[in-house]
Amino acid sequence: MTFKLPIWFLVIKNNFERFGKFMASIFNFIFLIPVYFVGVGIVSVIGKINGKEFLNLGPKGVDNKETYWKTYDLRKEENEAYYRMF
Amino acid sequence: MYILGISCYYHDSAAALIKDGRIIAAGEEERFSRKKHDNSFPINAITFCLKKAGITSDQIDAVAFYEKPLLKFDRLLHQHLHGFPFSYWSFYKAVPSWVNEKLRIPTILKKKLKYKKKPIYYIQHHMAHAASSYLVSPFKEAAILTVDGVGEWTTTAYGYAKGNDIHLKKQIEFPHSLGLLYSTVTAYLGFKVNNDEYKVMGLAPYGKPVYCDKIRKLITVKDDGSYALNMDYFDFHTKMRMPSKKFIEEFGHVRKHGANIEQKHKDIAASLQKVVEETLFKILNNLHKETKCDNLCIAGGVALNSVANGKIKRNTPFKNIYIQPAASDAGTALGAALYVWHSILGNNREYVQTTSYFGPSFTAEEIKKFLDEKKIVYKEFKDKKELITATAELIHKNNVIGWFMGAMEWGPRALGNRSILANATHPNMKDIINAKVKHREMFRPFAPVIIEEKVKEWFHIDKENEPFMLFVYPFKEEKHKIVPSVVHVDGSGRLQTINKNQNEDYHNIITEFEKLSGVPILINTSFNIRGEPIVCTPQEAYRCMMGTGIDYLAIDKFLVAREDNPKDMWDSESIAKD
Repeated sequence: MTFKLPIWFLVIKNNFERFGKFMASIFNFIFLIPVYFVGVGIVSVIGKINGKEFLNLGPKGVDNKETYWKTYDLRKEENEAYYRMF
Repeated sequence: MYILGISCYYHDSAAALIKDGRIIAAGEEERFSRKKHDNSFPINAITFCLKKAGITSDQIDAVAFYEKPLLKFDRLLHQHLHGFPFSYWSFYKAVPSWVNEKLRIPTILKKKLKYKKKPIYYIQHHMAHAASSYLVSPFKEAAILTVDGVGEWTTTAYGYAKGNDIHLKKQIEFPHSLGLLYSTVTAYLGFKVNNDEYKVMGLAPYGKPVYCDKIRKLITVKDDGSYALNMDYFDFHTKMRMPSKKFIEEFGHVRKHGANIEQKHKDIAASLQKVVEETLFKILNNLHKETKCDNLCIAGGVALNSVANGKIKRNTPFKNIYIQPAASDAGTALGAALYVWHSILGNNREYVQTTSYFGPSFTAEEIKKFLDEKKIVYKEFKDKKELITATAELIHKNNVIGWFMGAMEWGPRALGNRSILANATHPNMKDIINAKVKHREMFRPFAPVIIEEKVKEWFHIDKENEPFMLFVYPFKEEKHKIVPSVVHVDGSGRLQTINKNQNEDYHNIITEFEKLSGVPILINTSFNIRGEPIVCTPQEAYRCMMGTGIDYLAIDKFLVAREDNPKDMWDSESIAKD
């Protein structure tokens, strides 16, 4: 025998979920501002001042490179390498 | 030994379960959750896989994950460091899911699956792609190409595989990406990114490639096929949009979703397709030169470009090509699991994937129980043979049939178990299906399915077996008028062949249709309501039929007529999501 939840309960549950997501989005928005502007910002500014390129944006116009292929050399590694998330 | 492969948190989450190197079950989460391209943790797909295997989660010996999450996070951080201070919105959108989910895979597996104290293997994304194709291919050695939007950093990789070993030698890194180039133009043309790229491919034959020079401003391609995007034209690397202001200055304003498709849009699609094909062929010619191998395995989202795939043999020296049907990210769940079994654990390859029927199936008893419980009016045949004969007659009389048999397909294509079938000889059948069921853009073609033994009579093709609908081939000119509903404007068809070993019922219905019409071809299109995933259960199949203009539902040995069940009719267009 299966027990069915009443519809009014499901409606309330859904609304609570939506409210929870809404509140989470507001808190995320606020708390991520210092993370972004302090954490990411300082590293980014210092890096850029020192000429660091965080992304290789490639050529602007004609360039003399023979190839854009980069060495990958991805092959079977030690088993331990696969247990890592990096 | 059971290995569970998982891909999730980007798009097209999926799970695949293999036992001693053989695929037991595989499915995309969207088919269960009913959310198209669902990217959440594939708990429903995993539950199905375990149920089909008759095991519980504590009997899983290893989990294989389809990417290295920290490497991907590293790329994300670099994007924001580069984009600062203009990337806050995308930072805010991305970071919570990284903190809560993407960097906590072991915790999530423990919490949702009770999977603990057993290994989790993290396989690099493009290696998982490569494995998904090569390790189930019939080849003992092959050249490998993987091309997609982006994995961790890699967007394109090539290499060589022999026996159990795959070696990816070279790569192109983000933000330079053939897949993201295609997606950017898809967005520019008013279609959905990561969903509608195939529409751009379908639109291309209606245009002329007069914008090739402009497209070539977006991408520099070397003779060896390596390429770099001109990032002045793109914003995807730092913002939540794809084309940049400069792109729009070059090509004009972005087409709004649903607005008229003008000749210019068709020409841009044609130009993009041409440049992408040229680039792919350069890569492949270089790959052949390096590997000297005539076998080729391709994977990644770009491998679903069936128009380009169909031209590979004519434009490169490769003689044999294998593409696994779930070539996009869903397939990496399978690839990761296979890589663990064969390459990491060193087990020999014996299995070749020739079908894609790894999803849920339902017995005749289960289906009858459903029909009876819902008081659905239906006709029960003595066996499937009788049903097939009757259904072939209905198709011959130009009825549109929902065809629900056996196990659901793995991958984005309906390949004869969750399909809509119709008469390809009717000159207006494309319009009829569009009006009754699909309501899709008129430029998009419907695909033909043909019995394998007749394919060379109908197509310019050098082989008999093309079972996954991943290659477009030209019809023979004299056949165009016989099957007008499946011949695209350029005289081609996105072909599926079928033989008795792959799917007997499917083969039989085409054979029966041939007896009536003299034509061994049917229209095969996916069995779904517009904007929804392909149907999975009998209930979804019935609902789809009653919400569209499908005339009959052939489901196991039962035939349900739409007009016999007027109480359940409704209009699916009212909820269409795209």
